[in-house]
Formats: sequence, C-alpha cells, structure tokens
Amino acid sequence: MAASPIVTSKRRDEAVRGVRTEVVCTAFSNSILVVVTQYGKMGTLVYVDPDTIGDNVGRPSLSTKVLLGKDEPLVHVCAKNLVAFVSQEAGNKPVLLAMALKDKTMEGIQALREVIRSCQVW
Amino acid sequence: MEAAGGGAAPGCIDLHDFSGQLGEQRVHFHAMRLQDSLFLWVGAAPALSSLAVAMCSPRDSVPVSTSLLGDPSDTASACLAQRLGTCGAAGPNRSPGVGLGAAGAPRVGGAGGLPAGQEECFWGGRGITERRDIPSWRMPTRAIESRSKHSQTLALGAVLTALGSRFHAQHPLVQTFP
Repeated sequence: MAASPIVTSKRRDEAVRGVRTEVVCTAFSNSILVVVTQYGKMGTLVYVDPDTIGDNVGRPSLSTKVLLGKDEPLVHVCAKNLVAFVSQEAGNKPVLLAMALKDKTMEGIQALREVIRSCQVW
Repeated sequence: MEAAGGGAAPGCIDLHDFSGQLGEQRVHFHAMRLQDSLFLWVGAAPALSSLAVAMCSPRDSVPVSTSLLGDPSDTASACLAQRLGTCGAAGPNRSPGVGLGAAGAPRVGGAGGLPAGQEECFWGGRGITERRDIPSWRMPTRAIESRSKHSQTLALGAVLTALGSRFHAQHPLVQTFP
C-alpha cells in the first residue's frame, strides 16, 4: 500500500531558452526547497530568508546567504529574483535554493521564474 | 517500507517518497537523485531546519562533512554524515561526490513533533544525504539530559545502523545507487 508523502513536491523538466532545465520544488512545514538545475546537479546552495522587520513599504526584505558554492554578487541577485515570490506567496517562509545555471541572463531568470511558478507546492 | 511517488525518465532528477515503521515511530523519506549525488531527507515531521553535507575524498578514507544550516554547535548531523559517508565509500565507487541533506536541529521533548531528539545527516559515497529523526525509544535518557556529544553520537549511531540496514535492504534506490 502506498503511503502519502509527508512532504509535497513537484518537478518540471523543460527547455528554457534552449537549455534543458529541471525544477523541483518541495514544501516543508517551515521552508520551501527549490532546486533549479541546468547541469543535473544541485550546484550553489543559497538560503533566502525574509527579514521580520521589512522594508519601508511594508514588504519583508530578503536576506540571502550562500551556504555552499561561489559567493558572488550575481548569485545573490539571481537567487532573489528566482525565489522572492516563492517566499512571499508561501507566507514569508524561508527558501532553500539550489541552483546550477548555464543561462544567468535576465531573460533566462525570468523564464526560470515561470517554470518555478508552475511547480507551486506552497 | 511503503513507497509513494515514482521515478522519472533516465537522466532526469528522480524523486522518491517512502516511509517505514521504526518501532512505534513512522519515519518518512524524501529522496532526490541527481547527477553524482543524492539528496535524502528523513524525518517524522516535515520540518527542514538544518543542513549538512558530506563528501568522500580520494585521498582519505574518512569523508569530509560539515554543517551548512542549523545550530553550528551541534555536530551530530555532521558526525552522522561522516559515518554515512563511510558507508557510501564502502561501495564499488569511491570517486568524490557530494551529498546534500537537510536536517532538523535537535529537539528534546518537543510537543507535536518527535517526542525526543531529532537529527539529520547526509552521506556521501558519490553523495547521499540523510536526515534522521531519532525516536524517543532509541535515545538514552542520559543523552537527552546531558546532550553529551559522545553519548549522543552513540545513540545516533545505533539508530543509524538500524535505519541504514532497513533502508539498504528494502529500497531499490540505494541498491542501484552507484
């Protein structure tokens, strides 16, 4: 007899701007795990955490921390752009993002965001 | 063990959800197989609050491991990752790999979740990560009270062995893992 999974996850495999991309989103009770890979690996791990204080217009600001991999500005920018909406729509939950990207252009990130949105588990 | 969720086409990320009974505790697994690595979450409650990684080294028989997320003073998950990495290294492939896992910070006597300690670990052989929730009946009282790293490691080791043997024996994911 199959047991129902305790965590919900969705996966998507499609070509994004000509690059094969796999996305897996998993919902835990206290955070969301998002894996976006164009290499089949987890790549860089970034923890995206909404701050409780928030910015001046009432939205929580996001802090990003690279847990594993190259810690460079572009990684933080990509991470925020990719999963800021996930954190917000999930009720300001932190997001653990694993990304291994070939295409880090703005258009590529925007397209990836839509793929992530199609794997909504939050 | 009961499985839920299936695999994917070759070359894709494989997802496997399954659960098993460990004594009175229902333990859930969420495994994600990637290229040369495996992410494995194990727990009784669906929380993700710490993270550790283990990696085999071709120059050392002892895998390297570190905690990435969660209480840095708690080395239990990293220690377990290292031990599990040793298990993985005993397999046919000893090439370096990375295992990633998510682990919950130890929780003692928590209500609504696990009755005793909660631990996670990861293991790397060519990379496997695990999170373990330690059922109360397996956790010695002394370890719970004193949080002694030594006694805790012993307790976790016993659970690891019990879980590991079931996992290896009964789930094809690990059997086919390179």
